[in-house]
Amino acid sequence: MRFACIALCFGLVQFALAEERTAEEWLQAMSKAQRETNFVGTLSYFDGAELTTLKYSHVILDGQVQERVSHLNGPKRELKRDGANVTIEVSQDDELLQMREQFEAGAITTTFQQPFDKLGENYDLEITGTGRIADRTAKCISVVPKEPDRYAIFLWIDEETCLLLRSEMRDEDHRLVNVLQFTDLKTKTVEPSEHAFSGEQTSGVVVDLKGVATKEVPSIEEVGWHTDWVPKGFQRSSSDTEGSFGSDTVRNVMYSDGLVAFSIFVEPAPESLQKAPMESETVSGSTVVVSRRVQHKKGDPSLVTVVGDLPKKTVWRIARGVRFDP
Amino acid sequence: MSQTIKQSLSACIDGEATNEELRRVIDETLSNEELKRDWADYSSISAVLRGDKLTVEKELPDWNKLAASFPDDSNIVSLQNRGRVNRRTMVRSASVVLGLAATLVLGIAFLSPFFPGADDQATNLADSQTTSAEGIASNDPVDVSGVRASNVVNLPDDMQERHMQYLLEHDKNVTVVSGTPLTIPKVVSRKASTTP
Repeated sequence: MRFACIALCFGLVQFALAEERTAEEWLQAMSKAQRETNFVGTLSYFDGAELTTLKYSHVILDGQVQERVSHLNGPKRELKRDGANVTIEVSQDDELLQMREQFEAGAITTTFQQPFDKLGENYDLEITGTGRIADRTAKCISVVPKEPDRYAIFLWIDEETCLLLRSEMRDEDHRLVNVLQFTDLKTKTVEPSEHAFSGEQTSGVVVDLKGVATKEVPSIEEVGWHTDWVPKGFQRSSSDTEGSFGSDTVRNVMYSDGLVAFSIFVEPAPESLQKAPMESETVSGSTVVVSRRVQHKKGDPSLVTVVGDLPKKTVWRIARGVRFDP
Repeated sequence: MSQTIKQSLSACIDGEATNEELRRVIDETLSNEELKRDWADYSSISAVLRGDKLTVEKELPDWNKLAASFPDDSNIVSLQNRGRVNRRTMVRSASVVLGLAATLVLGIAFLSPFFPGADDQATNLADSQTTSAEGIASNDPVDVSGVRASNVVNLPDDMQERHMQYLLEHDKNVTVVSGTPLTIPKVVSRKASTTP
């Protein structure tokens, strides 16, 4: 009887806490839960053209985040994250593998936490209601940008665990850009032996996506170019890298507003692209890639490429705002 | 197959479907081979319009998993108050515009014998607009801003490859720096073959 009373009180306190949270606090709670909770689930992801199903496993072992995300449809592709190291296992004929052979990536220096506490400066945050996702009760939080230079995001957060259950990205006309949704989600206590990635046999090819930086990367001021404009609230992450295309060094800078990110790549314009259009654009799902060949006073032209999960007009404005120092 | 379900299917492919439409299309498609083929066709058309490359083997969704992944609409908080342009509405609007245009043309044709200068005036107006447009184009420096989006399919292979590589590189940045369920599914699902 005493146990029942305590359980009831505990439940009531949890319920009261959940009720009292503001939209911002829900996002903070989600961010914390995503980092600290062990969970396993299946989710569907629709990018406006293709629908895929993924198995998602997230475990904290010895204070390190370990994740495994497997593609359940089509060719095998499995992403593994062990702290700062991320690898992806693909089949021999995966085009991702061919791409990797051409581009030698740099390494990311540090990681950063998503600054959800500053989201309110650029987005209107609101609790819009309650729904049921993956057989769980979820609080829906709308994250609508104050300026139409980025997409609105709607998040369904599990009331019990504060884990993300569903997200929708929508454009300024409220059209769906992408949606992901867990179809089942379980939190669990995971034994280390149950989730050790290192000793696993792999059947495909393992590609090391990024590791910890081993050399100093010059600051953006040292490389002779800067950005005239980025959308308000986007901050340069500590992830500047240098990679290479053949003998050409590629400078890479990433910006994030806490929810979405874009990357800028600058390299000497390759001779093979002299006859290519001065400006070009590719769209993949919700991600836009734009390139500009820029002739600057120092001599040879440069190729500026911006990639981001942002509306086209915003990505183009960022690309056109890249200036080369005289 | 009803035209309505095809319209809903098209809306799904265009990313314009409401949850209700999406649910209905998924339910219908589970048991309808023709609709599955239409889904593939519409996806291909959509891919071509977007400038994506088409693959020989078009991967079809797993309909049972898809059906399971979308709960009943009544269980989802409704956020569908957008002003989507319905195809039927578009057809209706187009009919009205065409009707008005036809009336105007017939009216001019009927009245022109009574107003001999009207044709010349219209021609002069058209000429002046054309000349003006040409003048602007020839006097301005070469504008390269238009060379994009619509002709993505004509991008040189080198540029397409570069775009793809930078896309993947961005994916990796996002995954390593702020990898969450919000970002990782996009990376794992990225289809190299469908991106120009």
